[in-house]
Amino acid sequence: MKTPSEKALDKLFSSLQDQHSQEVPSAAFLQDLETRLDALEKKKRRPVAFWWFFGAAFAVFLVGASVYSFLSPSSATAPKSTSNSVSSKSRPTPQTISTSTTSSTTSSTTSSTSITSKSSITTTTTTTAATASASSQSVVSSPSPSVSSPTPFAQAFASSITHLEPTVFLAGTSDQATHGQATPNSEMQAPHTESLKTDSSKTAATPSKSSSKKKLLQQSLGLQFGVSGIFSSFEVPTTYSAIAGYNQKQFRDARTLGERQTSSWDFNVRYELAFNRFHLQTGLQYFEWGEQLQYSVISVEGTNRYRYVNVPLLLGYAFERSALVVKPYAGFAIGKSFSDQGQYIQPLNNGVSTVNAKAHAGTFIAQFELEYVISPSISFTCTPVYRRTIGPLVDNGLIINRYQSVGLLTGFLYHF
Amino acid sequence: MQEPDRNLLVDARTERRAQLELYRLCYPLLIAVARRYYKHQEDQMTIVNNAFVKVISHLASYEEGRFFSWVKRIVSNEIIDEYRRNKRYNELYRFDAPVEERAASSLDLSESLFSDEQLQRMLLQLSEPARLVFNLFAIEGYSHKEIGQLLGVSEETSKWHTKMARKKLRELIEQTHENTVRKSVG
Repeated sequence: MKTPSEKALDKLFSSLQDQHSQEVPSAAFLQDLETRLDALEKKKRRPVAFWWFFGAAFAVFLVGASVYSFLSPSSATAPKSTSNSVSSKSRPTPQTISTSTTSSTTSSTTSSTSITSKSSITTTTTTTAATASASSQSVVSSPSPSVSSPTPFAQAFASSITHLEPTVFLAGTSDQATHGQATPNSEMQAPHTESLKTDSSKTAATPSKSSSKKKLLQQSLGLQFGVSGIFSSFEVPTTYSAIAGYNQKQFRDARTLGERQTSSWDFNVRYELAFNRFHLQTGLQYFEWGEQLQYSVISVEGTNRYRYVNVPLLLGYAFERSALVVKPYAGFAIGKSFSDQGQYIQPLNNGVSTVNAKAHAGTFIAQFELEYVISPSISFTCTPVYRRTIGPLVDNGLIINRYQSVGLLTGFLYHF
Repeated sequence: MQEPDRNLLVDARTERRAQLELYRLCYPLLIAVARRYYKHQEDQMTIVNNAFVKVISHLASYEEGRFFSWVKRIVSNEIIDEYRRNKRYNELYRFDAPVEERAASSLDLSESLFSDEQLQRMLLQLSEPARLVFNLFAIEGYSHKEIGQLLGVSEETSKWHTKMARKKLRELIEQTHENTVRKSVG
């Protein structure tokens, strides 16, 4: 409860609320406003560029994926039958899987797969390439094979395996083709029955050299972690009319003494498309910019961290030497910030002012990747990387900061 | 204050000329609020211009109503946001001593003994957190509970700063009054 004297005091000051003079803004205010309105306009335009870049990176991925599926040897050698794909590309499972395949290089393929577990699933497939017609028959938990309709699940499962497991598929079809060419008649007469587990393990251990040589395009997915050191450089405006008593040298000295480099954790999810020796890389990269603060003159300490998720577009060239591949890359990334506030000392050493880094920022990236091939599908990567912001990351007219970083990323690549 | 023309508000969404015209209309209100909270001109400028940029960027969402009340709300929110952003800095101001109650002044405060400039000057002599809380509580009309929620402090902290502010203001009022009397006698 307010006492009468408190009420009177509050009332006295609340009269200030409605007192507005008719003064006009000074030139300094107008100049500062113009800068902020310009920044607002740029900010409105920048997301458009960001989405264009993001779209371009996504398009690279899509084009790569579709071109790969057209050019891969599987599309030329195997009939486009989804049900056939199921039978010839099934992954090994803990369940007992038996496959019997009758293949012919001329026109028709007949295959049947039965998976025996607690609930037994039997799939019988007949494909006729010449007439381009296919039919699948599935029986679930049925002791006698009597059902005759293609299930949507079987088709979806088949198509997902077709797209997700091209390595196994390629090797399988390659084997099939070899068998077919060598002894077509014997295979037709005596369909072989073998465990797919054995088949697929054989594929992983001894990949077909001929099939990999045939590949014009190769795709890779990878994960990388790392750390980088961030170095900031700043400009100090020679004049700043908005602040009376502004002294460039004093401000520069205060910042030079109070700011130092910091480090960042980096994380990459990358997609790579290789055409012969040329590599195009995109994906998502997380890294930070910023600096450590220790303004002893005003007793303020802390770290400015500007966190960005970036979409890179890098072009590289591969030099191979036995199991080691050296890939220099260069390119750009566009990033979106999700933490962009920083604090800097004010020129008259009378506190800190808060500034915002750019919501969308461009980065130049150069990296020198060393890739050690562990197996045909897995590689270990070690990548020294250099990054540099394109233009100032922070710029409010008074605080103008650019950043560079040097780091090391390590991770794995999965080729398919 | 006269409400701005509807066409001006529409044009100000995109046209720089209209934006500057609207700025001139809003400036007296914006600077008056900023001066109650900030001593330094660069701080006032940051608040005034940041708030106005927010006004421009949200003009499309402004619907019919009292325009200047809407602007005032934006500038108040900007000040609160600025406080939150500078929290690390402002955390240096912690309350730790009980406030000694001071006997009520014999001055009749209902009489307009002081000019707006004098009152403004007195406000600016308060510590930063006390000034912020007193402004929000006594002038803007927020409750201690609301202030606590807005600033991320406890209700007690808000009350403590208000008491500190009142105590200091009473001292300043008496000093100013004595000076005025002395001058008039002299």
